[in-house]
Amino acid sequence: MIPFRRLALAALLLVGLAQACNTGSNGNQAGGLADVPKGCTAVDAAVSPEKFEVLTALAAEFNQSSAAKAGGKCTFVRIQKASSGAAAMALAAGWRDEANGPQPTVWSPAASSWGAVLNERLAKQGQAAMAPAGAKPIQLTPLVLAMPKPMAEALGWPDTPIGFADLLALSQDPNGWASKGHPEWGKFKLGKTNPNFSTSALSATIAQYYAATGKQSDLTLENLNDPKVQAFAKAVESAVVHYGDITLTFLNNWYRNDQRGTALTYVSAVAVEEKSVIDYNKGNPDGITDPGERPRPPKVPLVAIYPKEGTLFSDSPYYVLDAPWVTQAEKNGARAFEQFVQQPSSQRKVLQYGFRPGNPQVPVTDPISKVNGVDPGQPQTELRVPSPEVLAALIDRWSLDRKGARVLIVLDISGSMGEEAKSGTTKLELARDAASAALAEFKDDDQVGLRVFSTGLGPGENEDFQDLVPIGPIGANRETIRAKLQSLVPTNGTPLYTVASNSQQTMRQAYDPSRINAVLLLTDGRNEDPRNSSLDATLAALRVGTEGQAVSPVRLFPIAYGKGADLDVLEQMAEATDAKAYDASDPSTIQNVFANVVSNF
Amino acid sequence: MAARALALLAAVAMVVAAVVVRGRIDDGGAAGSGGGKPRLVCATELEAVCTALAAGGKVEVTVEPAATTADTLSKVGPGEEPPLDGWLVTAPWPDIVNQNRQRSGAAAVVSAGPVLARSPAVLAVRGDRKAALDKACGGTAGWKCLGDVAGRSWSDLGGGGGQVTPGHPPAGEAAGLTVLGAALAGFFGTTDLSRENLDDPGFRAWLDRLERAAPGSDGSPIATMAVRPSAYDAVGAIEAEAGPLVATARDPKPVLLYPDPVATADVVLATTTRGGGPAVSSLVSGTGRSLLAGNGWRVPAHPLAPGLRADLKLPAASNLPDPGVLEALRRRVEQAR
Repeated sequence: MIPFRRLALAALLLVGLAQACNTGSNGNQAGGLADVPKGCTAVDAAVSPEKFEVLTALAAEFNQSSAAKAGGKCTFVRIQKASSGAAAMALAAGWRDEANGPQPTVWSPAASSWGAVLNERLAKQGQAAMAPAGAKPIQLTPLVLAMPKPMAEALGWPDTPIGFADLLALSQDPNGWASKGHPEWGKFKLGKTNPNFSTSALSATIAQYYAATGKQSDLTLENLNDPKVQAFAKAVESAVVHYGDITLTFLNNWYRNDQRGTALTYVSAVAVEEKSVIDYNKGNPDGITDPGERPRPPKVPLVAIYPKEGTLFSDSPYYVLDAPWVTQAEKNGARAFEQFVQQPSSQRKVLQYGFRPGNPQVPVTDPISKVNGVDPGQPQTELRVPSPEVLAALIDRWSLDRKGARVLIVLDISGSMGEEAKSGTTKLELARDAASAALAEFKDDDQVGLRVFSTGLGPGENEDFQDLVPIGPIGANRETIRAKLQSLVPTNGTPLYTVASNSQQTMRQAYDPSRINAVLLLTDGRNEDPRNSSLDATLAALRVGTEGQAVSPVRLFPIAYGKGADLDVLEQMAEATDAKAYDASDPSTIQNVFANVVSNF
Repeated sequence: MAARALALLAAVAMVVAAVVVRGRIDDGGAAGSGGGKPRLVCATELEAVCTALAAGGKVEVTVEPAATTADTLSKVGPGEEPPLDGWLVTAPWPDIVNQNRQRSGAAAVVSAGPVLARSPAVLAVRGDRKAALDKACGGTAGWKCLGDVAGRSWSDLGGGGGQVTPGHPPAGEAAGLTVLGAALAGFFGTTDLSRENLDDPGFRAWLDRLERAAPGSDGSPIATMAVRPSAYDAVGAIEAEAGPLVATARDPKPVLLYPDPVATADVVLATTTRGGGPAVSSLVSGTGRSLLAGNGWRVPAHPLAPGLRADLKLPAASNLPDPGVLEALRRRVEQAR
């Protein structure tokens, strides 16, 4: 027997034994998951981020309990975080990418609409459904419009029901909040995430199109194509401050503004899940209490507006997947964990995290109470998730109706961008490919330009940046920008502060209030410019136009690219403009990160 | 050479062991593909009862919608063995199977035993909408009236915002067919119906209105209503599920109505010609009855579960239309959705 064949047999045996015992104890800890005790059946659960913390706590409790050893069998549950849209995509593709973690037995997206989306995608590929019918909810939370309490009161809350139509009227009023007796609050501004990324945004967009039709069920393709419906949607979108991948960006910025007394001018309402209002009002906008953190309630609390036209619930279904890789033993283990999660003591924990329990035996009590800005007696009316076909068309329609963008892409071409990121590919090559791919996400009438920066640029080798493509409609510019991106080569140093403040100033000079005005800045280094080394001065320059009533905000969305980037400084720069910094310290993630950044526009 | 042969033998033995262990884990520890245990298939509504029966280790249980089992049994060919020994379901599903087979010239494959437990069809109405719905119905809300007002604006009926949203379990579920059968009888005011009644223009319009206004549900609308009262205004259900749920439901708590004529879901055990029928029958008629009573079903000589109406007198028979009419109704509703 030659050594190769001996090795192959050994490998076969190892695989066979590992499968037989299903222990996962071969050291595979994808995604940092714990090793499974010998003799136990691993039940891997992919869950949406908002319930990761509570389910991780419940899984730890379950794994130590007698419920995990019922019938003489041992079950070991491992929770992995997976955003709903990404997980639906991965499952439809067979969950092949190891970077996603182990193939799950259980999937709990934020809402059962994602289960319908998955089954629809599988059906189109001629495959059987994976998300079975009749899945029970782990927990529930309705979509609400979070508003600062004084603003809600100015609209008649809590006595007068408020809906999308009221907010639309206010957003279209040239006098803005002055029409409600509060000129100091400026215009009505809406915060809303991107429905391609976020469940709350998807729900808000569905609710918005329903509001335009006056219906609460059976939204049709004809409705989406109705010019009046489109006009309504465009008008609502025109009030949007910026989009984004997660609602936490808005909540964190809101809280920071609250601490400096500007909560009422940052944004007027944000579409979020009810749970987020509770977290915010407790002084914990991201919903996670870090060790040593002492949450401080905001000066201006939020209240939840349950739109009078109706709303949707995120119902966190517990799917034991009918996937080819799921064994009967894993299904049995998953059912045992589900029973544990549904029992009243577990459901009371769910409630503590601000969710409505999925088990009706556990009443909805504190923290879901008016003291925390939410109303357990609401909503009065629910909207129906449209059919998968209409849902897909709605997302496409939104990409046309959404607010336009005016964006300057600013890329670092300093010498360090020439370093190798992965075998044979430089950081610059990866970044320019990611930027090139992300251009497809802009709609044709978005205005986009390309600027590069490094020291010693230009014919005289004395410039800090160069505008390679002036800002113009991306429909005409897309290929030009792609060609310019491909021609980039690494050069000298990193004049970060100069280019950040100058780019924002340039954008502010031609500010367009009908669009989202923003700078997307990618850098892999720290400021290396002795001529301008003051972070404080840079931050002060960035804040111009962001605060006050007559604002002309140009948001700066930096990407910290590679290990050498200074994420802390970039976060300060983003916060100075009420935006968000993105972490791509692992260069191989740049494609996804770029897509996430572009989701803001 | 001998050492190599031994190593190879050991390796093969390990692979065989792995496969055997894998098989044991996959089938939950049972020997082989069921280890000779009788196979009991249960309708979804009886899952809790059957899970408890399976815990004793004497029977292999599968839970699925009644229509799934019915379709399987309807297609069993001549000389083929049915894939189950017993089927715990509500009447008249076993009769539906045998009628389907009779129409295609095949022999009956299931034989239903006596009624083990019963549960009436109920209408659960959202507490804060009941007065407006009663008023719109000119008295007390019932099946026919619910279909008449389905989809109408509550503001027209004096009951708040939104549209009248009814719900019922899927027609292919035991509870769903009972509720729809009760609604059909409620529409015509009699259970003496034929397939031709389903073509009545008034009924067709009524059913279309009801189905258009009822959101598609792949689960149990009453379970949804118990945690999300805003999801439905009035849903059909069987008391065995609705009673306990309504007892703990969230505000505005639903109110249970028992529309006339009261129809019932009657649990029966249907056995097949496979050899395990007697064993399943013995198990179900023994511990099965108390399990049914504990899970909200009305069983003679057993106490009522919490949430069930004590003063209700059940009709002598189920008060459901003929099995053939119900099967046609199921097809009609599934087409309408």
